[in-house]
Amino acid sequence: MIQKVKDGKAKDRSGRKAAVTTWRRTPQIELDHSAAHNAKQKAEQNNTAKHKARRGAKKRETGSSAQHWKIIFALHRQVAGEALSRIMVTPIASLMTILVLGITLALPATLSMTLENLQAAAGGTSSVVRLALYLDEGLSNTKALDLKKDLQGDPAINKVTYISPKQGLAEFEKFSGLGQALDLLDDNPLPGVLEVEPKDTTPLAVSNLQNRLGRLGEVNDIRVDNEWLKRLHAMLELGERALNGLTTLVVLSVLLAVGNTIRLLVVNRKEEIKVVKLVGGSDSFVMMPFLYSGFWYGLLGGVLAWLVTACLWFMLADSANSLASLYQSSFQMSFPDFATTVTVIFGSVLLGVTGAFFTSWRQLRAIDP
Amino acid sequence: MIIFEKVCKRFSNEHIGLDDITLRLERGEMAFLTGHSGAGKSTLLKLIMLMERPTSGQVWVGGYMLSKLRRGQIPALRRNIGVVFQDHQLLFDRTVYDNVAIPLLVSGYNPNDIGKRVRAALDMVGLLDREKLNPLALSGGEQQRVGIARAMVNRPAVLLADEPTGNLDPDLSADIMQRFHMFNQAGTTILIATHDLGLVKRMGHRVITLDKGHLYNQQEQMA
Repeated sequence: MIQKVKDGKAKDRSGRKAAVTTWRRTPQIELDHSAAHNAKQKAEQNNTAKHKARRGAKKRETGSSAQHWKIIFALHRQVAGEALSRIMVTPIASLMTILVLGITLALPATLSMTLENLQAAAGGTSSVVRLALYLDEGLSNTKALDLKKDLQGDPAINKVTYISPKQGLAEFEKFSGLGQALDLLDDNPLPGVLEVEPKDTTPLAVSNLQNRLGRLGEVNDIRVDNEWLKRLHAMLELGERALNGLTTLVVLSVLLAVGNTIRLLVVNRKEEIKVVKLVGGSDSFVMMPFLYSGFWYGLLGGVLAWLVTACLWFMLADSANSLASLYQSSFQMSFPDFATTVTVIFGSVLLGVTGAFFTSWRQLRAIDP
Repeated sequence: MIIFEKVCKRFSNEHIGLDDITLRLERGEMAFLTGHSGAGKSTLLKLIMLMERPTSGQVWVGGYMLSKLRRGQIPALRRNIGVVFQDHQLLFDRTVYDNVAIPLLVSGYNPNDIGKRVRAALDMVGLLDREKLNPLALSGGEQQRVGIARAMVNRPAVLLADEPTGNLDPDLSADIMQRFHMFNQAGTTILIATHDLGLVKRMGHRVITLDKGHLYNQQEQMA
């Protein structure tokens, strides 16, 4: 009985492997049962069996945990190496899978890169939302400057710049290329303009300020040049939602692609799996090579996705930068940064392993001998 | 070590594999399981290593009630049972050495030990010089011996053999049986299914006879 209690404890402690260890340790139970039925010589045999079993058990137990981990590490390294060489054995088929993964994953990676850059570009100018106050025609310069002084005292306003009709005309000539046409005009058609930079650039604050300033007597018209920004922000939000949706689809298709590849691997190695299970290979032992295959496919696919994204960057960066310079923006299209790189590759690896896990798990149930 | 209690096994096509088998095999015992083909020998062995589950009744192995083992515990059971399969179950995509090493790999043996143990097992069946060959290059008898080496390589507590001498010539059969006898002397519990009655008689161990799924008789023949 005592023996039994001890076994129970041992079982609790070592969990799953208990069946092995308690078996090795418990010839006693069997001995108690069989003693009554047994001839003496059999008891003797039992004893030798017990000794042998005990010696075996001890040998296994005395291995230090460092050694244990070393063995596990060596096994993992071996299995990982075998999985990689198995991929290399069928280069074309493997390349197809990797291409599917890489190109599929490159889609959301590229979209995310584009959105990030657009956000950066939009963010760069949104801080300088400007209200252009077109003053009444014929308002004198001094009066305009008085108004400027008043507005500068306003707590909601950051900065006010006065552009006199003369300056305005000069600037227009310079940027429009219509210099000679303007010479035909008798007098300056442009009003004076006060450019107001609000402190708070949120759309609500800006429109409040716009209303307030619109009531000023000297102001003829107000233009806020943030309409296109609002639209851009709305579009970016839409893009982000699209990115989320696309990412979900891509995740699913990557899982399916990896799953299908792994399924073929499992089917090809059916015999081996059967034999390994018959001699006591656990599910995790049998699944390990497939998980590593998934790992390699994920890793290679992720690296390829990153390369595709980087190539697209090289193709786009120049034209994007020249486009930005047309808008007088100092914006530079940024290369996929470290965080993006890690996300793409790590995510891909995760997807590979997950796809392999689910497929092999499902398939192995079917092979159970 | 192995106890069958009122075990029935019916297959899905209503064929009765085993009917009301009650049987007890002590620790360290060696016994032969005989009967015509289709008598249920293989089924009985499969029940012991949980390749099949009984329709009713209980099987105990090593003190464990097999019906209570969870799926995850089956590998641990099988690591304690060496099996020589009728159809060898060797893998032809690797060498003889690698085939024999599989049970050690799955039980997480130290890689340094594996070489020694595998060569010892191959030496035991006289195939040490074939370790680098593919099993396909071996004769049926040699393949059978590779299967025996693989069954014994991790020194299991129980050894089951399904027609281990089916493909061997008489001399070799006697030799293999002698090896089994030796394992038994070292304490392994052994159950061998065979229809080579002459050999069984000469060995002089307990004989369990199955007939159409029934236990025919049990005769103790101590030599």
